[in-house]
Amino acid sequence: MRLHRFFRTTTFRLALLYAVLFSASSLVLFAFIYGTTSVLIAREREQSIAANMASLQDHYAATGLRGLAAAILARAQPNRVGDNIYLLTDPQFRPIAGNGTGWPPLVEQDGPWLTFPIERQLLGEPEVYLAKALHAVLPGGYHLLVGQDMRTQERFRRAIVEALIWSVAITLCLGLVVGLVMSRNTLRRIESINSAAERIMRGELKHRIPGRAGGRAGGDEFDRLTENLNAMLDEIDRLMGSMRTVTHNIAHDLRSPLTRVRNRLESALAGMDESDPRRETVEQAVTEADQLLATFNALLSIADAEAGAGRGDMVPVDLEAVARDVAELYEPLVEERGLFLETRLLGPALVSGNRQLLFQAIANLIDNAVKYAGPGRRISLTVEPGNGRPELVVADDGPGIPASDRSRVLERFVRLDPSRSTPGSGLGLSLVAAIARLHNATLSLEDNHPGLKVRIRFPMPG
Amino acid sequence: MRILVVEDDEKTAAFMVKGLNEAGYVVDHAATGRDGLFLATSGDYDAAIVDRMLPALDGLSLIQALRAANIQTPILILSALGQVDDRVSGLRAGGDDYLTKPFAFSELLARVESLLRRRGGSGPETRLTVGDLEMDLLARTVRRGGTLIELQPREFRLLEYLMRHAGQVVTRTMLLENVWDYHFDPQTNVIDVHISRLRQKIDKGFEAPLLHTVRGAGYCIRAAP
Repeated sequence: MRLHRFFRTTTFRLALLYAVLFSASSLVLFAFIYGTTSVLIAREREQSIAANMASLQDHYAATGLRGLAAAILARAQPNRVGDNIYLLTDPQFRPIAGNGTGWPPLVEQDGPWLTFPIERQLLGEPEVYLAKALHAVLPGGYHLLVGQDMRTQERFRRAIVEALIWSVAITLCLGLVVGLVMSRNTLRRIESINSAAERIMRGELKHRIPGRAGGRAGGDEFDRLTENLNAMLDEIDRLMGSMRTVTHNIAHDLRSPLTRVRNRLESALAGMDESDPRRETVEQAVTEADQLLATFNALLSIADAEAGAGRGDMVPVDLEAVARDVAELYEPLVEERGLFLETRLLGPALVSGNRQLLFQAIANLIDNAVKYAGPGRRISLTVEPGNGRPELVVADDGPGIPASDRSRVLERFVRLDPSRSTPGSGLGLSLVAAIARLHNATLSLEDNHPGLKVRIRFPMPG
Repeated sequence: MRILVVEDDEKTAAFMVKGLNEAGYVVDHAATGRDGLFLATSGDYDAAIVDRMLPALDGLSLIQALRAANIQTPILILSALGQVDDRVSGLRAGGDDYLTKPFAFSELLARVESLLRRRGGSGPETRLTVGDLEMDLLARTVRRGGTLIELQPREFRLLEYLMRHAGQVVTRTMLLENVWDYHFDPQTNVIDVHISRLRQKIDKGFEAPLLHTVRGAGYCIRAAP
């Protein structure tokens, strides 16, 4: 499995590609060397054969057949180093002198040039080589054959092929090893960036990509990437922080004066007679102030949950019990509004969490369903233990949310009702999303065919 | 009845003192934790309202010092911190109730009155009575004018809480905290429906209603109008 990952890294593929390219180029190089050198060797051999032939022919012209035979005998000493072939025959091809055993069986003939097999025993086993020779008919009908076997060329060819095989093998092995080492190195550093990114996405916004062991500063491109990513995260964090602070401060600072206004209205109310016609107006003002305060409180709760407040105080909570409490609290309201609440609590579901916030989240979901599904609809509240990864689903069969709007409704103050005539602050789902994030749970809005299905998947507790 | 207010913010303190005075209480005010502790140990107060953040001695230490000196005055903690764990730590230090700033005065008053009532309670009661409404806490039965009233377990707890605070205003958050044991902000007023169901059972068919809605504050169960 791990090896499989190495093979899929870009570095490893590059290293392998280079190894193949180097092998191919050494193949071409060796082929070129082999080609040019063997042509050169062949030409040189032909020249030397031709020179030999010429000198023997001169010898014949000067000393006749006897002299030629003596010269051939002298040159074709069996123990003499070299691979020259000499054969002098009479017109009927019967040998007179030379080191050939007889007129050879032809393989190829190119004018006076003959190619034929020859058996040679130099060291150990006799071997068969091809030989090339120049054939001349001497005055008097004698045949003279002067040639060389192709042992040198053969040895040269073998050496080249061997070198080629070795070089390709070494290049490939080195490429593989270097690729593995390099990709392991790269993979490790990419992996550290990846795992840091995953932790940050899980909500540990203060986490940063760790630098290289040893703390070598200003190193390679990975160090620079790490530095830049960390700087980017710091900047995002700073901007988010200042935005959060501003939102938080507005909500926080407006709460106190608003409460004072509310309290003044309340004390004014206390001083009024039951029959006072201004009473209703003041009461409405108190109610509206309360709604505003509720909005500010929701905003602050979202900010707190998003800032990860309470993350350290997570305790094991039975989601099923919390859901049962919510159902029990909301059932009369649901019924009064003409809807049905169906609970499917399929067993204890332990999550690591904050009981109050979980209650708030489920309550908000039921509240939304009551508000937006409309009378006559059915709301279902499901808790599935799901093998240690509990799932909470709140679904209704109301109008639902179009797929294109689903991610938008999780944002603060987003309400799909353009007239904003339905009661609510547009913060309910945002708070649910913030609470889900705080619990490392994933929130998804799905189509219930018809209606909306909100699913929250919790991670394994602990 | 005498109430001690320990609060360093002048505006909040003045507003609380004024409101409590108007509600008929004698109020003393201390601006620092040390003064508060001195007053609380020397004077005989029926309840104390203590801010959590105080100069000289913080609210939680003040409460711990009082409890260590075996002074059992009921204490309402005020705090700008609204987190659940802040509530828990406040109650663990010896506070009796916890209210997050900013608060509606009616909420503060309801809670103070609840604290004062708690103090008056002598021993475990077995029977609660409001007018002709009777609750038997042992048999867990409710009768009005001799007629048995069937209640769901939660309705029983709701009525029990209301009856234990008979004559006092009980706010919706107090009910959520004490009957449901959750501290949260409902978007819709879920409590109202529970109250109207309860009202159906205990008031319907009887001449004088017992369960009243106090506008802008909460509910109250009482025999006389």
